[in-house]
Amino acid sequence: MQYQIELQLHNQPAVLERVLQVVRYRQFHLEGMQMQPEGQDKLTVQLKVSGQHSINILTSQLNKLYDLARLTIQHEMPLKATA
Amino acid sequence: MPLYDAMLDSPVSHYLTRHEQGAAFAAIGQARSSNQTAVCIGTSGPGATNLLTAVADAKLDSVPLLVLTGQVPTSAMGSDAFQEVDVLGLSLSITKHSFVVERIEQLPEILQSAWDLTIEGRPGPVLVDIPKDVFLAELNAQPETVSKPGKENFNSSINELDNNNLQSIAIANQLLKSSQKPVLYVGGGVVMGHAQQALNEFLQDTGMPAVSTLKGLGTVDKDYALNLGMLGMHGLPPANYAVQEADLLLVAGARLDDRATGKLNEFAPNAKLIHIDIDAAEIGKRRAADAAIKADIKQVLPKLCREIQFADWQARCANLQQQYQQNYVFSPQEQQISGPKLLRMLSNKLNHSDIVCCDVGQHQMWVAQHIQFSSPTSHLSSGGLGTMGFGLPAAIGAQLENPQKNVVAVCGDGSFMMNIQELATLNRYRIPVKILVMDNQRLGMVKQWQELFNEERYSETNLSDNPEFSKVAQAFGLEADVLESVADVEAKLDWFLQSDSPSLLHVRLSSQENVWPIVPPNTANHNMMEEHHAISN
Ligand SMILES: Cc1ncc(C[n+]2csc(CCOP(=O)(O)OP(=O)(O)O)c2C)c(N)n1
Ligand SMILES: [Mg+2]
Repeated sequence: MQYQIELQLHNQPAVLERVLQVVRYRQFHLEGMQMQPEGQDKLTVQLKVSGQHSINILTSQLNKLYDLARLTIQHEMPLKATA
Repeated sequence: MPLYDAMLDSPVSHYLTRHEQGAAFAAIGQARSSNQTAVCIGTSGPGATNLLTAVADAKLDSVPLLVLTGQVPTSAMGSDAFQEVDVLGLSLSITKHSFVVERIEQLPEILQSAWDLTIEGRPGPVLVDIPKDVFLAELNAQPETVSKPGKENFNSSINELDNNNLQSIAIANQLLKSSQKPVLYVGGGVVMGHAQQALNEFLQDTGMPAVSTLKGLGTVDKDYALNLGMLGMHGLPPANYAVQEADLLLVAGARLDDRATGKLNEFAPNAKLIHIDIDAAEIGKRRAADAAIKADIKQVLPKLCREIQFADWQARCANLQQQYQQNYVFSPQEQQISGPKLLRMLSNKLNHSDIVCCDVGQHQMWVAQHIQFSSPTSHLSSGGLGTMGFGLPAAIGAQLENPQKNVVAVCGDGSFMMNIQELATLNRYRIPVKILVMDNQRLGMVKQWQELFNEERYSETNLSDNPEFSKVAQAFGLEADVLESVADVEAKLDWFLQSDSPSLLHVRLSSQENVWPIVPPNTANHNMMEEHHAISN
């Protein structure tokens, strides 16, 4: 499955590295990413990820990040079969 | 420099270890034996990297540890300065969180947040990296409040049970009522969540059979009739069989780790699962839960149903216990000292709240199997990371925290050498830790695997050139003796336990003895190998 999730983050040192590390370590693939800093210390990130495991494995770990304020799953779609 | 200069005039008690890894493990020993946060400090660069193995250990065993590292001045950061290393980057995957302090004004609040975070929810290590210019600066202005993210969907259940959890508890109670063969599966989270008493009350009320993980050992009253002991790779047969036969597992503060479950898709194949954990990410991680309770265990236990009946099952479990009872007493004809029997005897001589720390390997599993604990806070064993060299420094921290108790470090000959320099710390502060070196002249656990699963091809596991440990200890200022005959075991253990100096007893063991039972890798827990390799039951 492929998922689009949106993260509201506190823009602190290494926050993006933390997010990307969790994605990699929990065995999801990063398919796309967009980010918009807002003001001094806010950051909104949209991630497109795919993986074999239930998305809950990833989101429950991301939810533990100290600098994460909110996480929403925006879309969920089956992976396109590769030719 | 500036921090240590300030130490000269401060009321903080500081203990200097001889390696930063020793400092971090000592802090872990202090934290685990008290269930409270402990602090360790390392200088920038190599001092910080030397801490990291123990920080990872604390992460995997959920130990509340505050780690402070020095850093080059902010003006030099990012320039590959002398002794500069990206500690924040290195810390990401082995801490709960890590902070870098950019200005002195941030320091008070960051330290407070870091301290609080070590123990909030699921405990763990938190690192604060502090550049030199921050240490040198004077705090003149008002401390800054560092803005924090307002968490929306995190830990909402710490102080009270929310609706989701109340619903899950209702489902759990239905499962409990309809179960014929329930087992309580006790992890380290129960005591970390201050729920030992609540758990034992639940057991008294229900009579449910209970098994423990390595980190849960000591939680269940040792006199509780259906305390089936440790499960898993080196678990006791009654515990493993009961779990495999169960129709319901009530998992409390445990993460169903692979050493405990064995082959996952054959683990407790007939059981429904009620999973209680403060860390929501552990629920459903390795096995889906039928009732998922993401909450503080102490609040959940009193709400669980107690009017449940399963007399046949209790009889079956009692029967398993009887069937696998073993005798671990030395007989007069024995020549070789057996590790398990030695530890049984040690256990009988200890007071119930004394502390045993160990290293990693065969002796670690014998400690888990043969020493009776009254709480996980008196069994300090590196579970998740399995770090050799844990025992001695952890014992130092535990003894400093518990001056009135006996603290014994049961060390492997391989592991002991990994932090042997901390003998100097014992001597410097005259910390009366007792070290029992279980010398089988082997990296025994690896040797066991080579023997059983690799056609006896022994590669790099022979340590028969070990130093004379008692002489090494004497050179460091400890009292030391060698134990090599069964006839001397009792007297030498007594000498050792009564000593009020740091002391070491070097025990010569056979290099052949193995840990039994063992569940081979990738095998279901009911397929335990016993000593003569027959698969039982
Ligand atoms: C730091 C570290 N390196 C390697 C290992 C892998 N390992 C696990 S047990 C073991 C042997 C331990 O030998 P010893 O301390 O003598 O204990 P024994 O098994 O002989 O009782 C090794 C090398 C480890 N757990 N930790
Ligand atoms: Mg050994």
